[in-house]
Amino acid sequence: MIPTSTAPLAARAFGSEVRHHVHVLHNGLRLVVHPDSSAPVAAVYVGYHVGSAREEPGRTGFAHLFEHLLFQGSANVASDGHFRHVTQAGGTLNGNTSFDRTLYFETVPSNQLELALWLESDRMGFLLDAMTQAKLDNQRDVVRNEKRQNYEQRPYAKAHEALAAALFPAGHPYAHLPIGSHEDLIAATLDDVSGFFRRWYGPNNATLGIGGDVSLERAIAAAERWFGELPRGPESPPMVPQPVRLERTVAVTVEDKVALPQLTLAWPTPEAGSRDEAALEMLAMVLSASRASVLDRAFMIDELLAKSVTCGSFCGDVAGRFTITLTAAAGVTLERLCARTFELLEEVRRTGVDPALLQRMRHRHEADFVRGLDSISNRTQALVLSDVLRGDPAAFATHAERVVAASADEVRDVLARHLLDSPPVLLSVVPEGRAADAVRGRPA
Amino acid sequence: MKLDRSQAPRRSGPLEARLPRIERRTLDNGLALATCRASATPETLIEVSVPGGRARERLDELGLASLVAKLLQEGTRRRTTVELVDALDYLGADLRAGVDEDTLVLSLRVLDRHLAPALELLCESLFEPRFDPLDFERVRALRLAALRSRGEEAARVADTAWDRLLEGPLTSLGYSALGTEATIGAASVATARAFHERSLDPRRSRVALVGNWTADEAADLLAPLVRRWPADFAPAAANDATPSAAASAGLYCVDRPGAPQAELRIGHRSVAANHPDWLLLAALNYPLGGQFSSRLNLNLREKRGFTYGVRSGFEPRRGRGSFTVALAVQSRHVAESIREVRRELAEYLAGPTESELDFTREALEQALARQFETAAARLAFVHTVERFGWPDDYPLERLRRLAALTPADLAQLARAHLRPAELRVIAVGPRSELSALEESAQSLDIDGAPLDVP
Repeated sequence: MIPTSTAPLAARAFGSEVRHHVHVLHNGLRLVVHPDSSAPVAAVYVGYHVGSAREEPGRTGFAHLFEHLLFQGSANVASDGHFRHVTQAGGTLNGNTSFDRTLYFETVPSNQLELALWLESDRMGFLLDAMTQAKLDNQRDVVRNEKRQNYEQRPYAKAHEALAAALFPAGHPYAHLPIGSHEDLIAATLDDVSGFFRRWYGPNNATLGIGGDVSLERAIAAAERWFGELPRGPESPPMVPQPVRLERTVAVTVEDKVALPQLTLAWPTPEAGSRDEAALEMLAMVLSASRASVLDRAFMIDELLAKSVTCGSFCGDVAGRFTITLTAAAGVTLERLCARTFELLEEVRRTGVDPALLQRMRHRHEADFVRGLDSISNRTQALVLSDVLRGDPAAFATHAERVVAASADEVRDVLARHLLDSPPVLLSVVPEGRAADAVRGRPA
Repeated sequence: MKLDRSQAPRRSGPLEARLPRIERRTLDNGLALATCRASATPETLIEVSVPGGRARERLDELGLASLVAKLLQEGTRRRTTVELVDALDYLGADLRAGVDEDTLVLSLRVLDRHLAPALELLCESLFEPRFDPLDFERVRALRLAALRSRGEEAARVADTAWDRLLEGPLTSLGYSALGTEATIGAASVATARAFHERSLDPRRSRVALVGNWTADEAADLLAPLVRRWPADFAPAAANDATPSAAASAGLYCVDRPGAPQAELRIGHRSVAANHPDWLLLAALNYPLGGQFSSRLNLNLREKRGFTYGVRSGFEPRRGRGSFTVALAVQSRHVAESIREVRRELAEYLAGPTESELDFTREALEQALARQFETAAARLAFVHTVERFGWPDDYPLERLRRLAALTPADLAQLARAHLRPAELRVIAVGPRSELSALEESAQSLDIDGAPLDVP
């Protein structure tokens, strides 16, 4: 008997809906099907519930390096086979790794669904048969060049690593970035590859999404055919939240080859699914999603103190972080930016969130949500990520509605508790030799 | 039956590629409308292209086109910047302006139920921009800050210097779209206003609309735009492209001592988008550097690990195109990377193999199934067809022509459009690493202008 619960489901928000079905294979692989004949394509997404947060000490960057190795062939797929087969079939493909999950995907013409499933099942089942030291060495070099290109050659990008290390204590799953360190990448061995594969890449730690011009019956039959015989892996322990609160303000200084200094104010916040997640997301919008949001308007339009302002809230499996980043306008000190930011935040606490601004941000969030679901690939991805991270393919839609439902009082409340009444990290990026320009502490 | 994993599964059946249908109308003021239907989301996308592109900038007003584009988003006669942004936010609408060589493009994306008021905001921005002196100074200050930081990112330096090498110093296209500190410093509300006004000739403008509307409905929806835009609105002069010599073939360097990587651009000028061979050039490039499994990427990334990735491509332009190989390599491998790219290009003059040609035909044909799914993809298709005057079925025309060609024909095409003797090579990275090459590098500043080095 095949355990199945393929009743029609729908992820709904703001009048949009993404119809889908869930079917669980014997080996624990969760299948989410999104039948949609609006275009002659099939989207295949495989999400594994492992990312940099599950890396061993001394092996930072390994989950991402491992993702690269999954494009180097498996027992029945040649080393250049993934890209070659999918490209020749007219498809696109890629993968990416974050703190909590690793995602692989291809979008192909719908008559090539089986090709995509063959490729994904072969690497889920038979990766190690084709693994070699030469592949590991080559992709290690590629990944180290990725790190150079995206972190070492980009202005201000070096600061990302310093921020993670300042927000979370050593050994915390989020204290390092998925890209990892050069020395840990150099230290990775073939034994690490086989160990990681056996530990985390079983079908019972994954969700397979099939979307597009494919019937439910065809999708289930094809998934059973290609994945059904793969053996179950060890059970993955649930990710246990490890929220963090800083005891005192942490000031960090990074020198970089830049002309204008930049300040990041950051706070640790709770994990995904916590009560405050939605209000924190709306807070980020109120502060900076629009040029007329609180911080953008003040710094970029009314007072001309900054060259750029960004703000973001991330809540992951084990913790969260809220960041505000300001690049100074010429002649403006980081001390000034810091003081003014706290004044503006205090003003929101004192007067409350402007209800008209809140309403506009709700409308923007709705429009962005609809826009983000404009392709079969995007819809299938949303279902799969939601299933991997929140255990429910429809959770992304309920979450979006929660963000819009956050009240002015709730937004003010998370501002007070998680930002104003909690010690921040104050990270200064200053021109080389100008360490004295860094912010030392929170304004009195 | 035991599952056979040893072979890639075959396609489950044929799939007929269908292109989106473009329909056209000429609106009452002479404005050309092109529409394409899309129903994936309840949204409408509108793009108005007016003749206010970079090629119109004189050398003493570099950066003006993009500055005007910016100012069109800074309020209208009736609304301040903040009031305009608030109105767009309330509708959840995106209104953006940008420039390419030929046109200034104002684009709107909005949920259908808010289309009418959002179109009103587009019209106000296009015809009644505020050009407030305080806003102008604010935008100018941000632009000057961006210009002062322009040397910080190696990839941007490489792109700017590359334009200068290929286009030469006598045309605005040889400079960054941001302009220079001198020209932006000299710009004024008056010059911006004048540039804007001479860009508003409806007979030299186009509008594209994509959404769940017929062409007639689209024409009706755009009535407010037409009403505000009389046919005799400021006739625009034709663009006079200034002839300008490219830098000579050879090696160039913007020195970044100690940088972990060097950004490389390697290539030469190429033919205009209306050249009879143009449609085939994407196919010619495909096995060389047009996708992940190309010769260049398999060699420099998957075999040698020198780079995170390399691509090559022919860039279409109405006046003159370019062929460029772009990559960032670990600094100590820069000399070897340049040698390898040159070797790959020289070898490719023999054309693709039979199997590379088959691969290209199949990939380009099958990809049509997924390339026009979203409204944004359909708008990009309409934009390309209208911008270059290509046939509405140009992707199919390309396949038809490709079907008739042999590898020998492609070799001939390669020899006509890839010219190893004319390669310009620019490295933005540590100059010391170039000493392993036979030739010496001409030093450039961060804008790609020659530096005299003792």
